[in-house]
Amino acid sequence: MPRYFFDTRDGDNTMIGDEALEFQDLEAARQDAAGALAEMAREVLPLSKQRQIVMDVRSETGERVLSLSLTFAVERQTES
Amino acid sequence: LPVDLLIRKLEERDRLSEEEKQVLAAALGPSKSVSADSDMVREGDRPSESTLLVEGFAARYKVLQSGKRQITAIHVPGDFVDLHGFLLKKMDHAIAALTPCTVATVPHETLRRITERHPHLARLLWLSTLIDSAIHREWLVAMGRRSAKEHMAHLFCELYLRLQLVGLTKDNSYEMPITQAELGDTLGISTVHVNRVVQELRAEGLITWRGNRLAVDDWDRLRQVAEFTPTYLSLFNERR
Repeated sequence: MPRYFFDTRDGDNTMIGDEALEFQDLEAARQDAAGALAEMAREVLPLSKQRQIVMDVRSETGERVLSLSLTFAVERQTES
Repeated sequence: LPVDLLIRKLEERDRLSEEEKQVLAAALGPSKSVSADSDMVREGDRPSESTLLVEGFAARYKVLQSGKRQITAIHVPGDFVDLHGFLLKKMDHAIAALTPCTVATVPHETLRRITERHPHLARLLWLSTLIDSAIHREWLVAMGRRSAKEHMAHLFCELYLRLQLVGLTKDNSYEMPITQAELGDTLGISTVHVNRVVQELRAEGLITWRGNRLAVDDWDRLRQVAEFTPTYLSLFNERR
């Protein structure tokens, strides 16, 4: 089964995955990574006004095979 | 001896008489092994005996139709994995061996006799199911309200104390023979998120998890992150 590294960029905060995780295929890795993005968002969004979280999936040889991102913005309507 | 694990756990919470220890020793059947990833009890079963885990890690779990699994309890040596099965009769969940396990069983008929003839021992068995449900309560709070990092830190603190109780910690470390995917099924989060959080705890100098061994490098800070208070494990010796 293929193994992938997962890097996360959350604003200025970058975390380079240092351990490859085994998945059935790339689609299974994509689903799990999407779940991780949603889980991270659940924790940080209530305290955020604007945020972009990006997750890169790298193959075992280090080459980027997928990039998932989540953008959050709050727009306040001002009354004229 | 398998019974020593059970006695050791109970004696942390109350005093046992020699007679009570003998009753427990006589109640346990011979040990048998269960291979990793197989079920020791299946959902829907009506077991006629309760299983004491002697070696290895086991998990209570449920699987949804989508195939998603939630582990609702992790058991370590000295734990009864299904003492509740004695009175609940029909299993509403399954129990799997996460690693190769050794177990010993007590027939429900023997448990019934113990409740009739040894009320103090019966209370201690009752206590152990109460501690199981106290652990479930903590897990529920963590699942619903703690961040993944706090939740994982909480579980690592809990396992440290539970394993220490049966002499399975060494220095600051213990065997943690489960995969990150299994840990994800336990915490209710994705494997990728588990991996990120493990890396974060490691980067902050709180833990090291190499191979099957988890070392708690900074107990005080791990405990602070987790807001861990061990009251629910009822780790004090008192007449029950």
